[in-house]
Amino acid sequence: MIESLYTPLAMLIFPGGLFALALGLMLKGLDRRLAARLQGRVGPPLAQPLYDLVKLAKKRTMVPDIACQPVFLGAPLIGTVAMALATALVPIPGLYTPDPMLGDLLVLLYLLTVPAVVLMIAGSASGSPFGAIGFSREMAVMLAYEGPLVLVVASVALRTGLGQGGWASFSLTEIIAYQQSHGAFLFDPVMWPALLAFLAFYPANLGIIPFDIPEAETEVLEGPLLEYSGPALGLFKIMSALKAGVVLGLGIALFFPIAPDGFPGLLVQVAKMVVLMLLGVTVLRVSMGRMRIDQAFYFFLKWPLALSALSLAIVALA
Amino acid sequence: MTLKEMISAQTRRMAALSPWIYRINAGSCNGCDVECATTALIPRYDVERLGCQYCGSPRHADIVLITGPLTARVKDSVLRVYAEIPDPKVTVAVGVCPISGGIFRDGYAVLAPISKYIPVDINVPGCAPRPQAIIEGIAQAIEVWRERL
Repeated sequence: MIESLYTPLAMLIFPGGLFALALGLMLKGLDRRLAARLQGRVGPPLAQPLYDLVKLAKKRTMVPDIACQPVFLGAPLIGTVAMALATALVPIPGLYTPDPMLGDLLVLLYLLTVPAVVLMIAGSASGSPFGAIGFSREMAVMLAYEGPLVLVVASVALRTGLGQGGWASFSLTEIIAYQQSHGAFLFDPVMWPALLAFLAFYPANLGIIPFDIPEAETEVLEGPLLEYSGPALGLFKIMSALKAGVVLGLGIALFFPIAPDGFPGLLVQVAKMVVLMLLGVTVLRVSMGRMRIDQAFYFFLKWPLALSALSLAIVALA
Repeated sequence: MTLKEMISAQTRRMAALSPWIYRINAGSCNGCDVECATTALIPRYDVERLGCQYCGSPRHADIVLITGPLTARVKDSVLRVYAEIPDPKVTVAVGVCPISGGIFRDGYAVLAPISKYIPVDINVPGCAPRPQAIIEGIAQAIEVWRERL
């Protein structure tokens, strides 16, 4: 009985669903507050993302006449459900191990592309020209950062698999167990190029400056989100809050899953996420301007791709 | 008080803490727009501490700041953008132009006051108003908005 409830509970309450949502909203709130402090402002209250969600739930959803209504309203639902599923796939070292039946790293990779695809669909279904521009930019950015991510994951998997005397291992549980007994990949010079590539990947996946080109408010008026209002927009906010937890959790599992067992493990995980969010996202976005789409595209094809390919090559040869 | 009423009161309280702002330039000279921008960008006048956020799309907006005397050319576009903002919404007229026309009041191309076309809730007079005045206007608009939720 308990075992059959394990996966649904993981998706809906802990560590996915409600817990991941609270965590994601807290990360977003911290991000906004620190960004304000770095700019010398006071900033919003910590719970501001939650207030925004409640507000959006009370507003009216307007659907444009020329929009394809089922797709327009279905897209945010699909994205949110995919991210809720993904939160159940990310392990918390020392505390939570996902059911192997649910899927492994490869499933997580596919689920991670869903938010970008959903934004593209939403932008084109809204019928707005800005949504269409957002669509093409989102696709360009996604094509640019997906390649490095796959290579990073492949080199981590290969390193783990070769270390165990086998072939590439795409199970996050095995990757974590290997690092806990052999030392984290964070301190392994062979993995540093992959680490750098991942550090470039996650701001782009979270869609923040300098890589927020698809949703740039000052150029394309938030692109795909332009026509959304009320609860439908709130679902997009939930999706991006969940995605923050998933991407940061994935980074921690791939490179630094050293944590004590039980409840302290959870605290360590949250602390690592906060550090990653504040250093990798907030400081980056207040200190840089937005790139042009071609700059971002070439940047990803040049540096992260080269670094992750180099990492894969070293791992395979070493 | 039943549980339902308590939840509704709590959600209203929380929702009132998140007013998103949208700016409409109805033929303004850009002076008031610069002052509006300072309320969000300059460290001293931080409107984000009230939970406000300037948003790029009228569909995300709760509080509308209108600047400019409403020129004849821009009238249809302003009314159309205004209609795109989902209810409940609050309108703030920033600067003396939307209130009376200001120095443009007798111009042949100027349709001010803007309240002939759009229901205005709060007036923030000045040419251009100081950022403190704009923030006070936004704070009053939040009070109005809380009633409308």
